Amino acid sequence: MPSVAALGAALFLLSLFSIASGVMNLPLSQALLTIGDQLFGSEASRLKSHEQAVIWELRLPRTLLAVLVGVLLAQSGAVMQGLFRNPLADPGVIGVSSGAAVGAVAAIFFSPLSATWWTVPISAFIGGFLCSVFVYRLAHSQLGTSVLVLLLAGIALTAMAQAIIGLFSYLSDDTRLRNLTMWQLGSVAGANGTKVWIALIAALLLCWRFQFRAAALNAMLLGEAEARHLGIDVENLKRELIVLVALGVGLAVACGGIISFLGLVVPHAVRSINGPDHRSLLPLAALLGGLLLLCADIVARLAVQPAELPVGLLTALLGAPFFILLLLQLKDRM
Amino acid sequence: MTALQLESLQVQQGAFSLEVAQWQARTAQFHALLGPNGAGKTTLLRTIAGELPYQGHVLLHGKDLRDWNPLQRARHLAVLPQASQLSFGFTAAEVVALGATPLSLAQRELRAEVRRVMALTDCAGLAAQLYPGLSGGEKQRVHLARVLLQLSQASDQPVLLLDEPTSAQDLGQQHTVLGQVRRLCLEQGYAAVAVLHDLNQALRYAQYCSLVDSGRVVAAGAPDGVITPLSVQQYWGYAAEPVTTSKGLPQLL
Repeated sequence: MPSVAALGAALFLLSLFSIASGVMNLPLSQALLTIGDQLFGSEASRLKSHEQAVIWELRLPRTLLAVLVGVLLAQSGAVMQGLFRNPLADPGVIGVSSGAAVGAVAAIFFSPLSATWWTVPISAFIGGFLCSVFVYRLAHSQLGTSVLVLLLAGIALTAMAQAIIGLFSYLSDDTRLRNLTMWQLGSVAGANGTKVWIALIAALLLCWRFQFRAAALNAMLLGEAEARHLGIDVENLKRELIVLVALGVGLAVACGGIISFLGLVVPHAVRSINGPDHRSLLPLAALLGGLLLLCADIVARLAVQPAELPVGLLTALLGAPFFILLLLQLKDRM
Repeated sequence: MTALQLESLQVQQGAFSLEVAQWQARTAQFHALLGPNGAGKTTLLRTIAGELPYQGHVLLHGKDLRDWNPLQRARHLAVLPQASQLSFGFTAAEVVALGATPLSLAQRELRAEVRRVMALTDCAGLAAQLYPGLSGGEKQRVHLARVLLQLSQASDQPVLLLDEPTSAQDLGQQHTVLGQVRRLCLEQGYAAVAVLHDLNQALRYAQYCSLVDSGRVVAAGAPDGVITPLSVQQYWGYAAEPVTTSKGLPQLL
């Protein structure tokens, strides 16, 4: 697929740009040599040690995490939309994002600041996962899983989550409130090796399983009964995909806070240009999701130097007009 | 030859229960399921399609539905829905290609097969058009092509189930679809079982009829033996007037 290669190349080039640029502008060649030194134990880079630390400990993990969170959100969005046969469905729809947000907010509220780097991701994941299991159980009966109940339960849980987050915000002192607010705005600034590894493993797992299920997801667009008639074990499919989406969104929220819009816009955009076939939609959405979030993160870092914008605000600001433009141009393809 | 067979079937759907002691549908036969609203026709069809839990036996080519491998079953038993929920912007040819989900076809074979079944159902010209923009009748023809593709690798005679296939169609489209299904039965040995509301369509296209009422099959046989002024009066509460067309076809007014 030429579009996969083009998006892949664009993502690679943008990643290089992201690693080389920032408040401290470093030559790309030296930045690459630094990464090579770290990987292979050589000493080819002429950068000073604190410059090398900026590359290896800050920019590289941040770049990778932005791409991976973008991949996770875009793929989860694409799969949810297919599963619900609703192009407006969002990973937040079944309550995963809300659950993850409550988990993270609870961790920020209760744990001492020094411990938040690992309690937030874990609580966010657990919150998202519990919520999705709860919603799925609620919607599941002997006759199958009702998409309507899933959607309504997701709405109810989101409302409840908003209330709980509001309560935590109300009870917070100034420092915690600032942490809460910043986290809710979304950012990949807290990237580190652990987060990157976890996100990478999750992204690879999701890409592999979703691609394996792509043809079945296409059949699901006809309706659950039709998919069953085409020989698909629909219950098994839904169970697997819901758990994986919970994992993907939970981790994305844990690593990057609340980054809205990406899971909705990216699959939409790909579908508008390339059609709804999940076999090509999923890899293209993954690449475009990574590209878009990385792009937003670069702008967030460079736009108001030396300060930073929250990337979640930017994804919405950049994503919304793009989405409206696509809607206008390709109405009949939607 | 028997394609579908029901033995001591019991289906419970809330307060409604369907019970069929013995029933069968044969290959190379268009079998119509008739009956007033709420009689259990669709419950019967959905049970045969494997959508509802049941007690007793639903045998497809002599083997209970529950014992079939889902992919193998899909190659032998397909359902043409009344209307599809599909709202995504696939092209018509892509929708037809979804019928290949349970099959193993290389890309080139798949393209050739899609062209073949679309030609069979008079929708070859729609191949590149977007599905959501098609008319109701065109969509139905696309789905008919899809189920034909799904059944194209059946090792036994294929079974096609149709749930009120003409309810969303205009008069011309109704006759096109039913005519195509009848041709599949006569020329390619399909066993077709269709829930029909229009008794005259059943008299015209079906070779066999089952009359369902209150969850029981109360009569079965040749259409003109089952659909009589007496049965119409008894089960539909309507005094129908029998006429014969100039071609000798019995119809009811």
